[in-house]
Amino acid sequence: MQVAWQAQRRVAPAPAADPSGREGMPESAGAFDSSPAAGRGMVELTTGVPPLPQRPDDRAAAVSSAATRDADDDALMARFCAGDDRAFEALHGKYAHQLHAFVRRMVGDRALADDLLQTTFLTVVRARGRYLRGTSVRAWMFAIAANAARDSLRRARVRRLQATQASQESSDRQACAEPPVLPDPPAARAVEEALGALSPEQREAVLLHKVHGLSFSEIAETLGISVGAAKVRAHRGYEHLRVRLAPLGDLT
Amino acid sequence: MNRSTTPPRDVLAALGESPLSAPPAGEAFSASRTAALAALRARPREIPWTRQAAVVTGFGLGVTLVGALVTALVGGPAARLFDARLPVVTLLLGAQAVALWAAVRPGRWWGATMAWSATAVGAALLVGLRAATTGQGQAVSDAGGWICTASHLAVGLAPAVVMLSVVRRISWSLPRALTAGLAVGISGLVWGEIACERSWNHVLVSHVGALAVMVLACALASRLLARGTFAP
Repeated sequence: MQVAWQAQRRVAPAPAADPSGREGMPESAGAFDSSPAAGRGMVELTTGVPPLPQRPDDRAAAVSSAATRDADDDALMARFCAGDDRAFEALHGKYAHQLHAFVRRMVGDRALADDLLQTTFLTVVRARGRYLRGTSVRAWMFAIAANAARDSLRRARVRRLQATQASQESSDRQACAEPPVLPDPPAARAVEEALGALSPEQREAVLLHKVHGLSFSEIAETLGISVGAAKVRAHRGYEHLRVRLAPLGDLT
Repeated sequence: MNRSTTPPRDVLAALGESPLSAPPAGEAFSASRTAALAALRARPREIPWTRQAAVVTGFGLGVTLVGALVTALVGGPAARLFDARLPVVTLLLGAQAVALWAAVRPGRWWGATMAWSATAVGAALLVGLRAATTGQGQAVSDAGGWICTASHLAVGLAPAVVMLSVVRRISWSLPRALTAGLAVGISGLVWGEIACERSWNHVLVSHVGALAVMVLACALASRLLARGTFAP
C-alpha cells in the first residue's frame, strides 16, 4: 500500500502555487472545508491544495516553484513547436501518467483510457499551432484530454440510447465502462465509486482540482469556462462527495 | 461531530491507494509516444492558428466589403442614404472582424463578448435609424420580405463554408459555434442595409432575423461536422 501511495505521488504531484500567489486562498479553500457554515458533522474534504504558507519565505518558494515549472514547460513547448523530438518526449514523460489517470477516471475503462491517451498526444502534436504562448501548457494538455474524454462519453451515451431506446438512469461512466476495477482498500473503493457517480462536468472539475492540482484559473482555461463556473462545478462535486462519503471512517 | 473540533481529513487522498492511479501500462505509454513522434516527424513545422484566423478574417471581411461596395456603386435608392449609416456600418464591420478572429482564436477571449455587444448595438441602431428615416415607422410595403432573408443567407454562404472548414479542426464548443455564425451572418446585415430601404419592422424581421437564422444554422452545421481533433 505504501508503494501504491508513492506511485500516486509520482502520478499526481502536489499542486504548486499559482504564480499569482493566490493558490490556497479562498478560491480553493473557503467553500469546501473551512467555512463554519459548511460543517454538518460530515466527513470533511480538504481541497488538496497545500495550505497557504505561513512564512513569506515559504510562500515565495512556492510561487517560485510554480513559476519555474511553467517556465520549463514554456521552453519545452517552444522547442516542441519548432519540431524538437526531445522536447516532446520530455513533455510526454512529464504528463502522460497524469493525463492517463485523469481520462481513466473520466471514462472508467483502462483500454479506452489507453486509446484516449494516444489520441490526446496525437492532438497535441497535430494541433500544437493552436497553443497560445504564455498560457499553461499543463492546462492545455488537460483541455485536450478532457475534450477527448467528453467526446467518448457522449458517443457512449448515444450508443446506449440507440441500443436500449430507454431512459434508464445510470451514470455516463457506467455506460462506457468495463466492470470497474475495484480498488482496495475499501476507502479508496468508496471514493472511486463516489467520484464515478458525479456528473462528468463535476467529476472533471474535482479531478483537475483535487487530484491533479490545477488552480481554478487553470481549470477554467482547461474546460473553456469562467473561473466562477469552475468553482461552482467543483463545489457541487465536493458537496456530493461530502454526502456520499459521510459514513466513511477515519482515513488518516 | 463538531466541525471546529474535528481536523479536516483528506478523504480523496485515499485515491492514492486505488489501482486507477497506477501509471499506464508500458505498452500504452510507449504506443502513445511512438504514434505522436511519428506524427511530429511527418510534419515538423507547425501551422500557427494566427494564419488560419487571418485567412478567415480576411475572406469574411473581403466578401462583406466587396458586396457593400458593388451595391453602393450600382446605386439603388438606399445607397444614397449610405453616408448617414456609415457609422453603424463601420461598427458592424468592426464587430465582424473581431468575431471572425474570435471564432478561430484558441480559448476564451473578451473579443467575442465585445463582438456580440457591438452587433447588438449595431442591429438596434439599424432598426432605430430606419424607423427615423421612414417617418417613424410608417407603413411601407413588406411584400417579398423573404427575398432579403434569402439574399442575406446567400451572401453569408461563402464565408460560412470557409469558417466551417476551419472550425471543424477545433474542438466544438457552443460559444465558439455561435460566434462563428455571428461572424459570417454580419455580411448579410451590412449588405442589406445598403441595398434595402424598407420599413424598420422589415429590417427587424428580415435582416436581423436572417442574422439569427445564420447564427443558428452555422452552430448546428458546426455541431454536425465530423471532427478528428480535440484541441481547444
